[in-house]
Amino acid sequence: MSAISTHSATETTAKTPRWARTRHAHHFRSHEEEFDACKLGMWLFLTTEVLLFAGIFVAYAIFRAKYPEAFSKGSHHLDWRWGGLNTVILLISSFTIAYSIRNAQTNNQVWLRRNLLITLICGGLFLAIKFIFEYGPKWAEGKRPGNLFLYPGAENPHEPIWWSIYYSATGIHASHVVIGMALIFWLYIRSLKGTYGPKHYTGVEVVGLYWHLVDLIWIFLFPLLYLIH
Amino acid sequence: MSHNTPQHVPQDAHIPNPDFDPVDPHGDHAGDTHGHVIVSGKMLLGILMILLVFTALTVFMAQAEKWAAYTFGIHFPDAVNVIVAMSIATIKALLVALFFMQLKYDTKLHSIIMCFCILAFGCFLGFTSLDILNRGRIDPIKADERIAGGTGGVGLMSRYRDPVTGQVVRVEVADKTPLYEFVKQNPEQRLSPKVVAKLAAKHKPKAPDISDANRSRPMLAPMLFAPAEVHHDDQSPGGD
Amino acid sequence: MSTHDEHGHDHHEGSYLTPRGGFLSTVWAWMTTVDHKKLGVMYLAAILTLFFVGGVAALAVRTELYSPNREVTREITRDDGSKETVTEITGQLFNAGTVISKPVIDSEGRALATDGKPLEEEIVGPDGTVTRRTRPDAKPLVEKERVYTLASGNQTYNRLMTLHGAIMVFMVIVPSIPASLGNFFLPIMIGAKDVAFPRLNLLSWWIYVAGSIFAVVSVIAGGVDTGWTFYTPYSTMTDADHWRVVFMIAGAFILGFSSILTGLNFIVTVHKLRAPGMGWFDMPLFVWALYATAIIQVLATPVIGITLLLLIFERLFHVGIFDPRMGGDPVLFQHFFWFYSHPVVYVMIIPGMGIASELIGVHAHKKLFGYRSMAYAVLGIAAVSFIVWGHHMFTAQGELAAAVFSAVTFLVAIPTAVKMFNWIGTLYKGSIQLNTPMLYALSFLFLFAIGGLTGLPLATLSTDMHLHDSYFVVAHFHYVMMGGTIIAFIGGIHHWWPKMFGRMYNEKVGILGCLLVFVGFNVTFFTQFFLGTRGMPRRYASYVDEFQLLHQISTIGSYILAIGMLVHLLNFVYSLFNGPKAPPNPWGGLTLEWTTESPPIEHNFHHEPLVTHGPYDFDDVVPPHRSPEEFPLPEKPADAH
Repeated sequence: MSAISTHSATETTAKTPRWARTRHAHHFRSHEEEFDACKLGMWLFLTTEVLLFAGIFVAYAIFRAKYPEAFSKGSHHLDWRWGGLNTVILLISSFTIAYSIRNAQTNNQVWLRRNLLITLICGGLFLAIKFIFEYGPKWAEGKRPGNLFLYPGAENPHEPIWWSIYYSATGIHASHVVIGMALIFWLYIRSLKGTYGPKHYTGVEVVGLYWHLVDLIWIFLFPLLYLIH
Repeated sequence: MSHNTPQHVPQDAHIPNPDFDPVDPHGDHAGDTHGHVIVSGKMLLGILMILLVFTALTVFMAQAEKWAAYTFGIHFPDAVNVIVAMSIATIKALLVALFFMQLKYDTKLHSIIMCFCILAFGCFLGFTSLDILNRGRIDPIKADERIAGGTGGVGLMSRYRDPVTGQVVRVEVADKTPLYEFVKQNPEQRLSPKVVAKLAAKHKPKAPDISDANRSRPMLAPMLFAPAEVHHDDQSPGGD
Repeated sequence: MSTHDEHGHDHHEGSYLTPRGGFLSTVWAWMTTVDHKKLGVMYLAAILTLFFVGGVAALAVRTELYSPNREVTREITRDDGSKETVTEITGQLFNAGTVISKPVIDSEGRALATDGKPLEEEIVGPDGTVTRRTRPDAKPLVEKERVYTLASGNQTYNRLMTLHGAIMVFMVIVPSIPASLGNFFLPIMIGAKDVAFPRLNLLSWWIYVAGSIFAVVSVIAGGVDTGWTFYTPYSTMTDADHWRVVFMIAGAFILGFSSILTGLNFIVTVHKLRAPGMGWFDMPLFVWALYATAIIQVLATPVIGITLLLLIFERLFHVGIFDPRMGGDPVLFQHFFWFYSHPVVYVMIIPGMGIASELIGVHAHKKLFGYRSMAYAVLGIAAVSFIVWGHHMFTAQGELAAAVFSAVTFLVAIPTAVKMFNWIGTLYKGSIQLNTPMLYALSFLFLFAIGGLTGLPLATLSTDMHLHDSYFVVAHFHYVMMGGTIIAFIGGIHHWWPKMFGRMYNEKVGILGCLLVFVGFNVTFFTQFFLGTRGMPRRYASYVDEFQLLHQISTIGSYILAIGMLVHLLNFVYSLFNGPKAPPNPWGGLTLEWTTESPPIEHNFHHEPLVTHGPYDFDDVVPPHRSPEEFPLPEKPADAH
């Protein structure tokens, strides 16, 4: 996003929408080139995110293969209803942010803002469910990672490893949700000023890509943690 | 910030054209749509619906398998569960990537980048598994390490303090009892009494163990999560 | 010449180094600059500073190893005739000691409490018996004392060694060429005004600073002794409450972000901002090398991110993923670590190869032999780098994996040899100028050949079982990392110094420095091959007496090496202030950076350049800013096209 030019030419009339006044940065030849570059940059960043989670997935696969019993028992402690609800929430938010790009392209400012706001609310709901209904009770019951594990009903000595993987995976994912929400909030504030429109929606596009990735990771985490048993 | 060169575009060039085409905002990409496709709303909604259906499907498959196990005693191999869930997840991920992230309409470069990324992930997973899951493939001595998983037991770590100064000198395994055994024996030592009481109420012993404990779930067979002494008195500590 | 934009800024047709405004505003302008050249120069300064710090640590390590550490017990006779046995530590030069706490005892031999009274009180029981007990609510009074033992000296050595390794790897070699010379020259070489995301570039710089501060704080507070590899369970279990390990790991984690962002920026820049007329195979090989490097940075660095994150979790909360006592797997950590750290070896060396290509092409003034194969070779090395990491773990992993990794490792030799032969092929019948950059290029070829060939016995499973964790490995990777990357880096600095700062350095002093470095380097590290094959294990603070001669030779070599480096430093400092002004194209190079002024203007080029010839077409093109008399084109045979 660093290349998005935020220059506003003061001479132009107030009637000209902000997005139409946005110019590309000086070192690009055209706005088109800047848009492509930002998008390419974001896709490259997404590969780094995928490989960041790759570590977690590899650890999951290795330990699942090593301790199938512990993982089977551990996954029974997770309620698929909360996981499923969170999946639905994230899918809807993915849809709304994809739609907000369309809104920007068609210059539908009202729905652009609404869709961003809905995405933001979905992200908040996801975190609320995660923390209030999943982390909270589990932590209180002693279902904690590694050496913090205190759950009296454990049946397998390697259950702490399962909880370590669970908390690491979902915790890092949740931190990405928080970052994504911050970015969407930034988009929302800027959209109030009319920054995004048919000629300039780079920000919505790249943040949208990031948010979809957060969704993608969850699409894999959900069955791995909640459903496979 | 960037220094805009005033000479390259006159100011009034930024005022939108009256016959502005939102599909081709720059007018220089007629016929070339990459990166600037406006996906129809119906299409997006349709994709969302398919995604939700697949979510329901994957949950249904997981439940159906358990139901089959409990009701009819039909046990599918473990791999079936994993393959079904991961296939559905992959289809969902592809849908999101192709349509929501617009890979389908985008330049090929982005797809290639993602392919390389997945390839790197594959190398990472493949070669790591090659080692850790195949220890002892040539020299059987090492096989035990894998099966035991280190020492197997879970040590309760404590900070060893210098008796005189009270400073933490080192962290060590103070209690050789496996952790889960320890907390079973003294739950109130580490958890709040309220939570312990709640757990005890939640896991009241009801009925005897009926089936394969590995495939149980709390909501279907809560009896399996009864307090430890009901079922596990005879288990040796650290048994693996 | 200068125009003004709507903000009233001067429109920067002057040199990028020209200060604007007073001292403070100039400093602020540098700190917040998005100009890739200024960022490159700042990176260069930071990297050279840290290189100095890491080098001093290396000298300390070598000095410590000059003689073995011994605890000698001998009998001495006092002046009054009494005899006493004393224990002395010999051969140990650096010993920070350890602080121990001991109770304060009063004159009657009683331990004291913090309130100054005796810790214990006497209680007279009803039957008259006296029992002693510690007073409730009394805390023992302790005094801290620093003691110097053999063990504490060895720990000091471990910390110095870790300091050297961690600084050199994470803060010097990984960012060295891409972040400094790459940042400066990649956009210029492809004819762009800047990198694709200038503000991201600035962010990357400040992340680098932040990460370095974390690491430096950790070092100043006492350092860590885990080695730069942070192997578990040692890194998670020892020094339990020492937050310094966490700081060092966090520093490495943050530095990873900087690396990722730089790599990402380079890939997008190469894809999107090439000047008109510059196709993929018209790019200079340095740009190709940086592109391949950036791919590795983007694909491998996130894995070290998650690894170090899990390591921090392990360290702080003992989550058990890498802890064998909880069923975790320390070898899994090694896999995670080397999945990044092996590719990162190529992040270190590939830019060095790129510089070597530039130096040899320009200073031999000959069309580079096998240009396309060179470009494919760097991509090939980048691709192979992801599947060979297991050769760092031959003694840790299972046999099957070790055998597979050993076989795959030999693939690396193919693209590397292609490059090696192409460089030599370029030198054949070239118009070689033996100036400092060329001498460095030749040193690179020589040292990298030794480094590469000694990699073969280490890649061979059976011989590695003997050589693993010995000085042979130390010598091998110093030949590759220092003899390859750092030598190329210094050669590159000499090559581009006139362009970066607009001043020439003294050629004779440069050649002297190069010779000192070359000789010092070989004396230092070639002896270590012998040490390794004779059984000297790496990382040890002491050794048996048989190794002392070789260790002494090695230590003396390191001093020669250091003197050579100092000669270069003085040469550069002198050149900055008193060097003659550099022409735009002192060497007769053909790539785009030689078409601009020395130093370049703010936006690199007055007009967007149009590329009409390849980067090494010395047979067809007279170099820009040079006359045909100086660089005559070769006479072509009559039947040439």
